[in-house]
Order: sequence, then structure tokens, then C-alpha cells
Amino acid sequence: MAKRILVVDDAAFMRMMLSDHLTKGGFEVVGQAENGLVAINKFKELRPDVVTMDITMPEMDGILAVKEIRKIDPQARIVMCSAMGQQHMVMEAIQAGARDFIVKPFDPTRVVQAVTKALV
Amino acid sequence: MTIASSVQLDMLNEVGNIGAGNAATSLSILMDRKVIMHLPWTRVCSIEEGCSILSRVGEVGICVEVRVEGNLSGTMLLTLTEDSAAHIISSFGTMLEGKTLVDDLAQSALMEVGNIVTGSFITAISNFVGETGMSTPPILLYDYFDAFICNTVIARTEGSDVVLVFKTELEVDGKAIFGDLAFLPSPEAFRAITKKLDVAEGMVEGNG
Repeated sequence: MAKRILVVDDAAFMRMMLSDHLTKGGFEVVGQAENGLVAINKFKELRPDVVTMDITMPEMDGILAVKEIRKIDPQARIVMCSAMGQQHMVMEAIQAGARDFIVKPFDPTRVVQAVTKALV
Repeated sequence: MTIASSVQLDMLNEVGNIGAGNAATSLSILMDRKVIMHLPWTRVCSIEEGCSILSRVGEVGICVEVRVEGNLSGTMLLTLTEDSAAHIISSFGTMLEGKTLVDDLAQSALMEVGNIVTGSFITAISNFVGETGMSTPPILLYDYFDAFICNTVIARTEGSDVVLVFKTELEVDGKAIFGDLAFLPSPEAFRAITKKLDVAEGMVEGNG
């Protein structure tokens, strides 16, 4: 059975692109969220195998969302999606429990690789 | 408070060129198309001069506005003419097939293009100055240039009366994209940039 992914990004276009890369890579995108708050609720509802988490989002950013999701499930597998120049924020997310990170714009191979690695 | 010497402007242009190179590489990955970006000149000007360079009177266009926080705070603007924005949308191929500039998904794609271009420049400036600048989620404006440019520029300069205009020449799949890139630094950010340029110019002169 395909592993279930929750895609979190405030940009509808980036959610679409990432979902496309993941679906082509053999994963099932079970949900999408446009900010950290929605992500937490969707995580509770869907219990995905992996969450891809954007960093800069309105309402609640990705780093805080990682911390909250890891409180709900300390084993939650999260891959951060960062833009250029966000290295320090990626480090903070990794310290908070994120497994890996991918850098925008997304390379399809790297996306599949990072999510696969997070599942190990 | 201004950048007076041509040496300093050359340095700033070089910093911008690094941003342009990174932006072109990233856009090319995003669109899966050949993207070229050159930066023929950089100018440090007043609000009035900045408005007149950036406004394309009577033309409709897109402006992606990205607020930057941190020690390099300010606002970055990427403007595109309507035709050029439409060409970018069509360059995404089947993913945005049939979408026009009024569609949410097309606007979301343009905001991502804006994020990449402005983010590349902010990173380049940030690496040069040694201060951090963090981008916040973008806003997209779709209107007449003369309607949004001056309102935005005046509202966002935060009393510094400085506009950094990076003249960009962008090509996507062999077609020229018309638009401009500008940074409206806060007074603190502009002080940090000029301080670094003073030091760098001193080193150039010291070596010469």
C-alpha cells in the first residue's frame, strides 16, 4: 500500500507541484494544509506516514507546527521544505524533530528520496 | 545618506549579479525551462526617481511584494508586465494549462516566481553584508503600474527615501520578460549596506 503523505505549504501552486512529484514517486497524498494550524488538525485527523512542512507560512509557521505535531506524536516523520537562506530555520526544525529537508524549487528525485528516507 | 561612488555601485551590481545567477538557476528548475537573467545596472535613488523608473504609465501589470524581516528589513518588489506574466504562466506547461492571470493557481505560481527572485537577491545581499534578512509570505497586486508602484513604494520605504533598483533582463525559453526588481530598505538595513560598501571600497583602494 502506498505511504500516505500530508503536504503543508501556504502556496497552492507549490502544494500542487509537490503533490504531483510525490504521486509520480508512488506516494499517496492524503491531505493538504495551507498553514501550521490547519496542518496540526489534519495531522490529528489523517495520521499520515510523512508530513512535508513549509517553513514560512501565515497563522502558524512550520517550525512551531513541527513542535506541536511532535507533541501529539513523538514519532511523527516530518520533512521540511525550505527556501534559500533559511539554513538556521532548518536547523531549528531538525532540532525540533524534523527528519530531513528539501530546498525549493523542488527537484522531483530529491523529494522522493527525502520522503523515502524519512520512512526508514 | 547615499551611495556616492561608482566603485560602490559596481560592487552592489556584482552582489545583484550573484542574486540574478541564483534566481535564474532556481527558476529554471521550477519551470523546467531555459532561464537567463542579466543585471545591466543597479541604481540607488530617491522615492521620486524610483517611482519614475518602476512605473510604466498606462500599462497594466503584476507586482509581487515580499516583506523582509531581520537586520536587513525592508520590502522587495518584482514587477512584470501583463504579457510577460502571461508568458511565465504558459511556460509552466500542462500544470497551468488554460489558467489566466486572474486564476488563484496562476497567481500562486507568480508569487512563487517572486519568492524565488526576491529571495535570491536578499540572500546575496545578506551574504555580502553579513546580516540576516528573512522573507515573509508574498502579496500579489494586479493593476495599473502607476496605481500600485508609487503607493507601494511610498508606503514601504519607512522614512529612508531610498530605493535600490536592480535593472533585470530576464529571458524564459528565449522570450524576453519585461519587469523590474527593487529593494526598499529600512533606514537600519540601508545603513548596514552602506557601512559594508564603505569597508569594501576601502579594501579595494588599499589594494590598488
